[in-house]
Order: sequence, then C-alpha cells, then structure tokens
Amino acid sequence: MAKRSEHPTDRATRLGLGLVAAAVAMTVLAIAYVLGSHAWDAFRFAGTSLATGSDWDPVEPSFGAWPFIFGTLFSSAIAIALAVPIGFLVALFLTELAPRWLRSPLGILVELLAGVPSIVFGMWGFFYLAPKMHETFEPWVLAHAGWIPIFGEVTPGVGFLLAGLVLAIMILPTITAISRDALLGVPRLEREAAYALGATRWEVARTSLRSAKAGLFAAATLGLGRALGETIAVTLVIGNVAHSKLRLFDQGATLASTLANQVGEASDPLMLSALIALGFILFLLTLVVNLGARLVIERPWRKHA
Amino acid sequence: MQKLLIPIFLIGALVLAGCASNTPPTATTPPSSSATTTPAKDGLAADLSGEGSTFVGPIMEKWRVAFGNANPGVHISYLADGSGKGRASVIGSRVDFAGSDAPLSAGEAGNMTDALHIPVVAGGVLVAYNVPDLGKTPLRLDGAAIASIFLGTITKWNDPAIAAINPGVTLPNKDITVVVRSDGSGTTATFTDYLNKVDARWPKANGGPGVGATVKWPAASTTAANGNPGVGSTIQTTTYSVGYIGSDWADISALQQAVVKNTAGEFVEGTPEAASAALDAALKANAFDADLKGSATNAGGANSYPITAVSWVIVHQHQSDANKAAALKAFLEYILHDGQQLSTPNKYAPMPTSLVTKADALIAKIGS
Repeated sequence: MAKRSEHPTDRATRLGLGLVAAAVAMTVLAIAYVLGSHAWDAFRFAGTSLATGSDWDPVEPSFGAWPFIFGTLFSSAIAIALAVPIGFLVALFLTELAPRWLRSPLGILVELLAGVPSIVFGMWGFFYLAPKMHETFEPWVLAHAGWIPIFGEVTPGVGFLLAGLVLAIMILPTITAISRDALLGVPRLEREAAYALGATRWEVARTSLRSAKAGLFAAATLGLGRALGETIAVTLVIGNVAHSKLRLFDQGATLASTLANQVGEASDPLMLSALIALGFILFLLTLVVNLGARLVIERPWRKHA
Repeated sequence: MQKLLIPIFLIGALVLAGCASNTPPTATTPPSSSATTTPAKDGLAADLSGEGSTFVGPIMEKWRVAFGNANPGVHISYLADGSGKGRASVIGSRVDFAGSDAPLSAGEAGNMTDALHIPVVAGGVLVAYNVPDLGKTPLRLDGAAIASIFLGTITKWNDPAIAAINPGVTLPNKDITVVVRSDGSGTTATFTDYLNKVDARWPKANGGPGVGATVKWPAASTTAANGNPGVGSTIQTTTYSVGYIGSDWADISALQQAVVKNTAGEFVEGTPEAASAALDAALKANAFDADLKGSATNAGGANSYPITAVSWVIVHQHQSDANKAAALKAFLEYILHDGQQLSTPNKYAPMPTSLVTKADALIAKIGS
C-alpha cells in the first residue's frame, strides 16, 4: 500500500489502538498457554482419553472428560434451540410490530433481564422448576410421548432439559438485544421499498431478517458463548452426574460445572491438572464452535453471485 | 465463588421452606460474658489468617469473633473455601493456619515437614431420607445396607436387607433416588471412609468407589447437589430419596434421619454427643497417631455414632514471627478449652478431654 506522510495524531491513534488490540490478542494467547501448561501433566497421564474417555474417577485416578464435553454441547444446544427463535421473534416484534410507545420500555425490560445474576436463574430453576419437572412435566410427557427415545426417564427434576431451559432464559436477553440492534440497522429505505411493493408485514420482516443476517449471527454466537461457559446456574440444575446419553430427561454435567464442583477440595496435583485440562478443553471448544458457526454462516467457499 | 453459593442456598432454603430461623440462642456471645470465659492475654498483637474447610467455617467465625473481642490486639481472618485450598495455602505459608477435614496427604506432608495437626471439631455425617410413608420414627440402617444403597445394588425401599433390620415397619415398594455431593467435600471423604471400613465391596482395590473428597458414584439413580444445603433441599423436594449430610446443616431437623448401627450393634442417632463418644473411643483404640492424625469412623463403644467426621487446624510448628506464634498458641488453646462451649449449641461435637490433653501438648510445640 502506498504510504503517504501520516499526521502525528493519526500515528498516535494507530499505535494506541493497535496496542489495545494486541493486548486482547496477547491475553487470549496467555490464557491458552497457562491453561495448556498446567494441564500438561493430565494430558501426559491420560493422553487422548482425557477428551474421549467416559470414566472420571479421581480416586482411581482416571480422567475422561467426554461426558462433560457432551453435557456442555447438549445443554447449550437445547438453550440455543429454544432461545434463538424466541429471541429473533421478540426482536422482530420490537422493531416491526410493537406500537412505538411500547418499544422502548419493552427493550429496557429485556436489557434488565440481562443484568440478573446467573445464580438467581439457577436458584429459580432448582427450587421452583425442578420439583415441577419431577412431579408434573416429566411424567406427563412420558405418559403421552414416552415412546420417543429422546425423552428418557423421570429425573429428580434437574437434568439436561432444565439446564437448557435455564440457559435459554439467561441468553435470551443477549440474543434479543443484539438482534434488535441488528434489525434496527436495516436501512429504512429497504423496508419502505418492500412495503411499497405491497409486501405483507411478515414478508417485510423476512426481508429484514435476511439483511440483518450478520448481526443476528453475532447475537446467536454471543448467546452460545455464554451458554457454553455458564457455571453456577448450570451446576445447580444439571444434576452433576457424568452421563452422556442423548436424553432430555437425564442428568449430566458440563465442563464448567465439574470444574467449579471439584476444584475446592482438589489437593492432588494430578487432579488439579486434570481440572485445568477441563478449562483448556472448554476454551478450545468455545473457539471451535465459534469458528465453525462462522464458517457455516459465511460459507466462504460459496462465491456470492 | 462456589462457596458463596452455600449461604445463598441456605437463605433460599429457609425462605422456601417458610421456616422461622432456628438459630441457637447462644450463637452470639455477648462481649461481657466472652470476656469472662475468654481470659485476655496481655501483650498479644498479631494478624492471623486462616483458610480451608467449609465445615469448620461457621464455628471458626464464632471463635475468631469471641477471641478477637477478648484480645483486641489480635486480628483473625478465616476464608472458608475448601480444605484442599486451605492445605495448599498453609503449605505455601500464604496463611497462618488451615482448617481441614483431612490430615495432609503423604505428598502434601513432604512439602510441610513441621506440620502440626490440632483436631478442633467433630460432627456426624447423617443419613437423611424422604419417605413420607415412614413418619417420624427413624429408619434403622447398617453399614451393609447403606453401602448397597449407594452402590446401587439395593434399589427399592422395601428391599429385604432394609426390611430385616426394621421389623414391624411397612416399607414402600418405591425406587430409591440417591443424593450425593456434587462438590468435592470432606463430608464425602468421611462418608466413603466409613463405607470403606464396613463393606468389602467399597474399597478401590475390590472395584468399588474407594475413598475421597470426590468419588465416582456407581448407583444408576444418583443425583448430585452442591453443599449440604443443596443435598438437603434435593432430599426435601425428591420423595423416596436418601443422601448424606453434615449434621451442622441448619435445617437438618426438617429431614428424616436414619439411626445407624455401630460396632457394638446399637442403632445410634448422629448427635454431637454420639460423635464425641465416637472420637473418644477412636482415640482410646489408637485410631489416631501421636500427631493426632487419624479417623473416627466406625469407632467402638455403645454410644458412638459410626459416621463421625473430624476437622483439624493445621499449622507450621516453626514460626518466624514470635508475636504470631504467641497469638496462634493462645487462639488454639482458646479453641480447645473455652471455645468448645460453643460447639454443641452450634451443632458440632466438642472434643473429648482425652483428646484435649494430647492436643495441648502439640500446641505447646509451636514456637519461633
């Protein structure tokens, strides 16, 4: 690139912002390095079975984190499946359909929901929802649709479905707020043009969704990131048992919940290393899921016409 | 962060159960009376920091406040974030003492050759259950039955093995849900230590879960919850469940508790007195070494509760700071003598006199 003489303030800005950006990149790399080096003992001890093995037994010792990886992905998938459609629809309502006087109070309410600490959602799930799941919802579903293998058996209430549900409510405000902003960014002209062509409200909404695709994707990804790493609320409502069957009514554990549960009394260096390895795996998982989602949405291999 | 959960959980449990607070009346010692029961030592001036066991946490809070009131020159802090963390911190001399539900492991002891273990408090690990059909009369359980339930080989409440030790009791034909601790815990370590002693299927060498703060639970119907409050609430809300829980939990009276068969063949309730009796018996049977490391589970004696936990304060014998050494000695002496009056009202088992004598000798070794 041809370089023209740069104004001193421009240079200062460039250097300053570059430094901040570099600091962020360095932090991520430093986290990866520290986690990786502390987890090294566990990786050397267990090899690949640390990620693929299903036996987590600190007494043995044997460290297989597959049930936790599965639990993290499964509970987050449930959360995304519930929260993304609802979040997008709420955002559409807020931008397209809600009466003008209602938009701003509703928007503020949604943002307030984002400020509720996760422990509150967890306690609500544990004390209020779990008994209801156990006594009413699960038996009812199993009586009517028990032949579908995805459901499983009656749990004490806590389990993958409850964890996914609580996570969905937790990530809903993030998804709604960001997708609302994305939809607000759709050029007014585009919408008015659609209306002028005689499009119905639903058709206009669909056009907006398509234009705001990148923003909506960012909303879902941020929600997913929060779901993958959420610790306290999930610990309360997932059951903390190392199961890895694709059953909505079954208990499980996530990487983050296992880490939180076991780190307090982990004095054995190998176990501590294995727990840090869980953190490292979670770090990688988040990275892979984010990159994967980005690939799917951007489809760089498909040239735009 | 996780330990923050426990008080919040407790508050939630209390609010949801609609219970009035059942704080023991002697919980807060007025300054005047603590001044009489806690003789102030002149010239003590030091900051002491402690870290570790959550089991010790509530009583340590009472002790440090009472001792601090009587000795204004001494400031004591205690962070209840888990025994493992407390041991790591005292080994690295980042704190002055650790509260721990287990002695140092062999590996840890190698890094702290001048460790002194002072037992400070004990308590029963209760087997609590939720079987509405049974009412208030406590269910009788023995080691084999408890082991079978937690191994998952007994899956129904009316299993012949339970029925045999409960003659005349009509047991429901219902599936048992097993509730365990999700977080690593000294309570789990004590409970598994007991089962390891009483049932041949339990030891790791025989293919069982073994002993530890975190073990792999084999029963298919197991659910795990955080802390005593989490286990207690899960038992409360899950009919036909059973779990183990520290007797220090504030809301324990809301749950049905089993009486457990001890080595003398008696079925004993997990009261503080029964835990003290177990500790005394274990000490007399040489279940503790000269440094007072040992275990009080499955102790002899007709009055002993078999699943009894002990917690220690672990300190360095050699202290570089003479003021700290003096304050630490005075504080530990207070804990083992006058401080023990606070044990029973706070649902902990006091140290038997036989043990206090030996502990005094260890405390006397602390020096600069």
